[in-house]
Amino acid sequence: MKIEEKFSPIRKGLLEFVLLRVIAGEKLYVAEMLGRLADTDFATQEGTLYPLLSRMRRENLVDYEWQESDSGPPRKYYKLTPAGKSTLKELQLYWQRLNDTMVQLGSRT
Amino acid sequence: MNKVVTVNLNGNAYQVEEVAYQALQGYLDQARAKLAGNVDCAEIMTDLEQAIADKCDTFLGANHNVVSAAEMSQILQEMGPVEASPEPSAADPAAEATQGGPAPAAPTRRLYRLPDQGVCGGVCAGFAAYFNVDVVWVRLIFVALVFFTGVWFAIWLVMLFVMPRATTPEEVALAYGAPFNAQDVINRAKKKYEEYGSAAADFGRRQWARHEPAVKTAASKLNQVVDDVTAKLRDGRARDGRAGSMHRAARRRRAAARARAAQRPGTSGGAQVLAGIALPVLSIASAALFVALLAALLLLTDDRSVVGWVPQMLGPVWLLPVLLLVAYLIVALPLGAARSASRRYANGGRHFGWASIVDGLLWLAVAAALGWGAYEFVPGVQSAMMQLCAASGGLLAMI
Repeated sequence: MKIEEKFSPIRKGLLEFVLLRVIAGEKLYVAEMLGRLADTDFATQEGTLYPLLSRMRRENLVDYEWQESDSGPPRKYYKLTPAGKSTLKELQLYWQRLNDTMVQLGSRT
Repeated sequence: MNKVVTVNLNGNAYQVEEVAYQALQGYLDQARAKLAGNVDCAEIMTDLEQAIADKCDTFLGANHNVVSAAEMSQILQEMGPVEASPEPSAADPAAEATQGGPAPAAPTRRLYRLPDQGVCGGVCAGFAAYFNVDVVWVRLIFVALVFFTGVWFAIWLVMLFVMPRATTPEEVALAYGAPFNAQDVINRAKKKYEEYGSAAADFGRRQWARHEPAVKTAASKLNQVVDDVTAKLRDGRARDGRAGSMHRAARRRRAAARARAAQRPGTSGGAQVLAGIALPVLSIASAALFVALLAALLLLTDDRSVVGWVPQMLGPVWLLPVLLLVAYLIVALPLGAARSASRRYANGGRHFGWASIVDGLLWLAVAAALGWGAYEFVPGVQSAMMQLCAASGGLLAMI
């Protein structure tokens, strides 16, 4: 089994964290998010992203606003809510801890 | 050469090849199935449609206005399969409450006619069961609707034919959305039997108590007459003519007594029930008629036209109100007679009883409701009312 396949469920689980990171920087619409992630290990598709964003909005982590676009219909620009920002902070701390643990475990052996 | 189908993607028309259309349809169907139970399903579907539309736009140009099957398959591949996002954790009760989720215990409801529970066909009862409200409300609303627009009666007729009848206990349970199990059905049947049994017994007893003296007197009179006649026949056979007429009279009286004796609980009870049904209908009709007369008279004061009909050419000004009143009386008098007769029957023969009170209240309620409806919705009535008020105010001020 290739390493990417082994990590597929972990990447999937991390996608929410990844999205919080991506949106934290600036307001984005879905196509832009996909573009940012396209060249990374977290490349994903609309079919996954829309339901996930809808759920995150229901959990009050993100919110969107409509903005006119030069071409085509108005777009939904997503941004973090205050709750989303604090969740992102928690997640970053937790990620740091996981990372530290990994490093420490490695140094002991 | 391929057939082309026009599809509506989030409000914009796109032309796609038939095969592409089928692929798109399949993708959206699958997405909808995956999102079943998601409160934001409609919104996500709109987002997906818009995303597909955006992708179609990248392929379409001045010389290329149909999305081919190959392009569509590429688009759908880019979209990727729709995955139901894992539901919010239990730590977030608010989100979970709005989520609702697919409750497996909730049984489906079906719209059935429930003739056993209904007055006539059980259409209203079926709707009441479906929306889980008291059937009385459904009937009241329905009757009110019929009086505002007769179309509702036609709708009711259609419903009578279109709605399937709940014949089996399972169907009755489905109509109520209650989970079907044997004990439930037994309980319901038992309850109904007891209700009907005691009601019927009560009714019979009451009726018999009311008519017992009459029947007994009739019977004793009959006996007396028979004895009388036989005695007279025995000793007066010579006087043929008189005896014959006596005989005939006795037979007539006997027949009359028999007819009265036949007035056992059932027959006059039937009349009472019939009157009970007819009475509200008659009162509603009478109230409607009364309000219609008032509205018409009001409209006459306004600009001497009844709903667009200009009657000035019909002679003197006073003629029309009089004609209107005569027309009203022609309809209202027989209606009133029928109403008072059925009120008496509904009271069980007495002049005054519960039926009179209920009937009076119903009349008032219907008249008030219709009056309000006319005031609100019939153009002209309101302004005529205003003018009348202003005129009477001026009159009072003059005095």
